Amino acid sequence: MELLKNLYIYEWKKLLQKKIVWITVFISVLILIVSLLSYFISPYEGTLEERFDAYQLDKEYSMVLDGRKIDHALLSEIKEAYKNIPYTKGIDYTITEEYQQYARRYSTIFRIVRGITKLSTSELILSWEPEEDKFYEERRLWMGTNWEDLKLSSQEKEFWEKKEEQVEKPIVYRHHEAYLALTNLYQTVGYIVLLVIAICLSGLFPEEYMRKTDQIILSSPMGKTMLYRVKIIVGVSFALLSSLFFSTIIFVGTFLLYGVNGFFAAFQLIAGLFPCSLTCGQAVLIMYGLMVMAAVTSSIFVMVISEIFCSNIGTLALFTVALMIGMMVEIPRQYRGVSQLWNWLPWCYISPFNVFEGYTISVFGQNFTSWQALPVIYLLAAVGMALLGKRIYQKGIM
Amino acid sequence: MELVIDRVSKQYENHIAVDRISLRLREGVYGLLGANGAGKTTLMRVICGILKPTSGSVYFDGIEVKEEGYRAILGYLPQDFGYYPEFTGKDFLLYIAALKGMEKRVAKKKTEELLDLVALQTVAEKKIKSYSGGMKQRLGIAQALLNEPKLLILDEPTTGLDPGERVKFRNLLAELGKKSIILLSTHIISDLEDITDEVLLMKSGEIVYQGKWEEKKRWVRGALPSLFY
Repeated sequence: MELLKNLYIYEWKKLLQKKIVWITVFISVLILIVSLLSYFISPYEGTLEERFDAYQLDKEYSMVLDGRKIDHALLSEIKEAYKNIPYTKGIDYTITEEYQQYARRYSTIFRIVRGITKLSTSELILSWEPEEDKFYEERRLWMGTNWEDLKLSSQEKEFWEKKEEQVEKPIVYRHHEAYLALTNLYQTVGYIVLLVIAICLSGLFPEEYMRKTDQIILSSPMGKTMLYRVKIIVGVSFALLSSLFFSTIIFVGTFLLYGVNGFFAAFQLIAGLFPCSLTCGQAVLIMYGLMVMAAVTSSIFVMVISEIFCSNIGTLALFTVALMIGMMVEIPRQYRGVSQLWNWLPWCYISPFNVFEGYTISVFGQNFTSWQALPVIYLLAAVGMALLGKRIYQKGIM
Repeated sequence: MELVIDRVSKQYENHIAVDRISLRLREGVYGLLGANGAGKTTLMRVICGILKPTSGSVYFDGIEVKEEGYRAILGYLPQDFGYYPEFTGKDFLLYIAALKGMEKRVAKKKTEELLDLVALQTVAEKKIKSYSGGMKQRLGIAQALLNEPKLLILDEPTTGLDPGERVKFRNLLAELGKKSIILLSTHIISDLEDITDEVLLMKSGEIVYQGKWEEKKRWVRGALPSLFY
C-alpha cells in the first residue's frame, strides 16, 4: 500500500511537471469565466452596467412571481400584460414602452409558456387564449409527439406517463436563474473537461515510450503490474478532480452572479416538456454528476487508446475528432438503437438534451432512465477498457 | 547463481535478430561484443524480459524471465537511457527504487549511497535536464544498481563517461562481478580487457565465440574487423 501511494505521488509529479497541463488548465479557466460572464459582457446588448441593471430588474420581477402557480389566473395576467404591446412583425417588441411598463415583469414566465405551447411570440401576443387545462393538455400532447419522434416503445411511453403523473400541476414558478445558467453552461463545461482530459492524459502512457523510460519500467518488478494500476488511478483521479474543479468554478461563479434560489423549483421551468418530477437542483446535480462519470470513462478511453497508438498526438487527434463528430452529427431518430447508443457515448452525452431525453434501457422488464443506467454502464465500460489496456501494457514493446 | 539462456530466438518478420542462442552464465563479468545490428541489444532486452523471444526461454536460478521474482534480481541500463528531465537526480532514483518495490526508508539510504558512488551527490537536487551526458550516464548506472541486482545487464554503459570515470566504473564492475552476473555490451575493447571473465562475440544474431578474454585475446582482436564489417 505504501508502495502504491509512493508511485501514485511520483506519477502525479510527472503529470504536474508538464507545462501543457498548466497552460491547458489556465486557458480552460479563462474560457469558463468568459462563458460565465457572457450574459453581462455581450457586446450587442448595451454596456456592462446596462446589462447588470437589466438583470437586476428582471430578477426583481422574477422574485415577485416566486411561489405563484402557473394557473389560469397567472396565464391570464400574462396575456393581459402582453396584449398592451403594439406588436409589429419584424420589430423587436422588447424595446417598446408598453413592454417595459406592462409585460417585462412576466417575461420569464412568458418564455416558459412559449417553450411549452411551442407558439410563436406573435401568436402568443395576438391570438392565444389562455386556459389552464388547455395549457397543460397542450404540454401533454407535445410530450407525446416527442415520444413518437424518439420512437419510444409502448413500454417506455407507459413508463414516462407514470412519471408524468407525479409532476405537480399547476407548476409553481420559482426564481431559478442560477440553475438555468448552470444548465445552459453544462455543455461548455463538459467539453472543456473532456478536452483537458484528452490533452493532459494522452501522454501519460506514450510518454514512457517517447522518453525511452519504458525499458527501465518494464524491466522493474512493479513496472509491469503495479505501475499500470497506478497510472490508471492517476488518470482517473485527474479526470475526477478536473471535472470537480471546473464544476466548482461554474457553480461558485453562477451562485455569486445569480444567487442560490431555485434548488426546489420544478425542472419543467427549464425543460417544459420533461415528464419527470425533478427539481432544478436535482436535475443540475444529476447532469454534473454524470459529467464526472463521463469524464472518468473518457479518461480511461484516452489512456487505453494512447497505449494502442503509442502517441499522444494521435490520441489527441482521434479524441478531438470524436468529440467534434459527437457535437455535429445527430443520428436520425428513426434508427432508434444507433441513435441511443450514439447519444449515450460519454463525449456525446454531455448535453442537457441527451441527459433528459426519453430513451430508456429495459432490464428484466424494468425501465431505467439514462441517468440511472449510464453510471453502471460507464463503470462497466471503464473496467473493461482498463482490463484491455492492461493486456496491451503488459505486452509492452514485445 | 546461474543464468540459463536456452535456444533463444527473436525474429522480426523477415529478419532474425537473435538466432537460437544458448548460454549458461555464472557469477562474473561477461562482455558482449559485436557490430551494430549483430543482435546484442535484442538479446539483452530478451534477457531483461522487455522483449518476448520468438522461441526459447530464459531462467535465473529456476525463475523464468516473465516472473516478477526475476525482475526483482535484475538491474538494467538500456543503451538509450531515458529519464524525466524535470525530476531531480535524487527523485529519479527514488522513483526507480519505488518501481523496484523498495521500501521508502531503504530506498532513501541506497539512493544516498549510490549518488555518492557515482559522484552525483552535489547535483542530487538539481533537475536532470541540467546534467551533462556523462552525469546522465552515471545516473543510469546508479539506477541499475539500486536493488543490488544479482543479474546486471548493461548496454553500452561507458558511453559518455570520461577516461577517469571509465576506470572507476571498471573497478566497480570488477567488485560487483564477484557476487553477481554482469553482462555488458560495449564497442570499447579496453573496457572489456581488464575486467571481463569471458567475452561473447555476436554476429548476425549468433554467438560466434564464447571464452576467456585472456585465452583468445589475439584471436578476438584479429577477428574483430571481420565481425564489425
